[in-house]
Amino acid sequence: MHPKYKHTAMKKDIVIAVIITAAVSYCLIAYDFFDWWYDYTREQEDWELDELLAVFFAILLAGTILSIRHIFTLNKLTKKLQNAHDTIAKKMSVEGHQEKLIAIGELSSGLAHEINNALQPTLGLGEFIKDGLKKSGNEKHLSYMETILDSAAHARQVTENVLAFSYEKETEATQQDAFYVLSRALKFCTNILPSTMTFNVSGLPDEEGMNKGNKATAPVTMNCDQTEISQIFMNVLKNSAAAMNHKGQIDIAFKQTRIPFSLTSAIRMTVTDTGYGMNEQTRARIFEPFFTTKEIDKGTGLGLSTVYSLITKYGGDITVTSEEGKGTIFTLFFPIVTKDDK
Amino acid sequence: MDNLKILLAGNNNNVRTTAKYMLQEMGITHIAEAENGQIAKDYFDANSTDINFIISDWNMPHKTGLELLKEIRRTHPDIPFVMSSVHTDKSSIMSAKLSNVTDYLCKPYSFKDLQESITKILKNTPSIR
Repeated sequence: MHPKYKHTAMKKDIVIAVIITAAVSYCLIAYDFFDWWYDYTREQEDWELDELLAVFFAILLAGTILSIRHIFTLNKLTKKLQNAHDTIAKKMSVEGHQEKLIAIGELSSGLAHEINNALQPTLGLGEFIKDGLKKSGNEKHLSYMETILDSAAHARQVTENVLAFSYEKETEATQQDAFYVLSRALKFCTNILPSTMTFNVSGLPDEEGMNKGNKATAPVTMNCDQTEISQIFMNVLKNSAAAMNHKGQIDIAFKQTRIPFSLTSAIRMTVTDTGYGMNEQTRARIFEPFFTTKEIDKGTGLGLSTVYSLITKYGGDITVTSEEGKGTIFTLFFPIVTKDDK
Repeated sequence: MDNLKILLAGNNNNVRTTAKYMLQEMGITHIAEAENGQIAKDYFDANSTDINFIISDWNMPHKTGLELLKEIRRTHPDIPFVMSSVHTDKSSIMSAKLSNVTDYLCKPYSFKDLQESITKILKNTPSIR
């Protein structure tokens, strides 16, 4: 039952109880029940009715206690049902989301294949036309042709992104030193992102502590592909950097913990930016493929959905909290294997 | 290049013609075209002495490029076979390699890609050169 309705039902019960108590008390008082009862029992000494009455009240009391207990048990059961319902609803929405991702992945990879085929003549023969125009000194048509080739190259880039998203480019996961993989991914991204951004990193062991990624001596390992982890970092950090117009500081914190509501050990990574944040409608859709708030041409809308499909493939999770005008916090969970788990 | 006798298989006219033009730009004139895997196989069976190099698409009706590759490899384990494909995933490339493909070109490929591939193959196949 919905909590709101439970509340109204309880109110109704209390009102009914008060009315019954008032009515019964009124009747008993109005008809001098107790006086009558007293006289009656005095007259019939041999019946032992007062003892009988005591037993009757004992039964009433027991009944009341049982009812109260029953109500509490029911309450507990309702709560359990409610929780189960919530879990199922959440699971269904996650599964629905994943099914949607798979369907879109299949659809878009088919489309990407077709476009790649269609691009073959332009990209394969365009260079000859360009060379010919260059030789004949036809500057005007040469610049037209360059625009055509540029645009075809851009289309090629888009299909490549789409295929990367739809798992076309599979990778091989191996067991590796978890912190080493994460720090390499981070280094890769911070080198590529504009130097106007600074990164405040905490929770990573220093270089010596990582044994140069030796998985045998590493305290925690994860089964992953370095490129995919770097891809996850890149897309999240690019998103945060864009929200801050590529200026300012991003806080990145790592901590060994467990995935909430599960027993899986994980490294939690929080990425905090002080960018323009987002409203609830945007927040609800950011992991959707092709959803973008950027201008056409500036983004494909595949970055964060790629992150979502990659991290869920690893059994991890990503959540986001955001406040408009203040910033956004991405929380990522990378499942790990600790020495104790082995 | 003069000794090259190429069989070009692919169902997409524009893609196949593009490859033909590219080959002609390289100075290759002996080019036979087949518009699907089955036609390619039949043509090869009838004129196998006339063909010493195969370039085939992966996706084709009646017989895919991979099936064509496997069938040709049974009788001609050494003939150069270049697969051109839109499948850029590792497992597709792997399955072509397991069937002894000579080279694998991901579409859309450039003139330079095709030229390099053919030059490399010819270097390793003295019988054609």
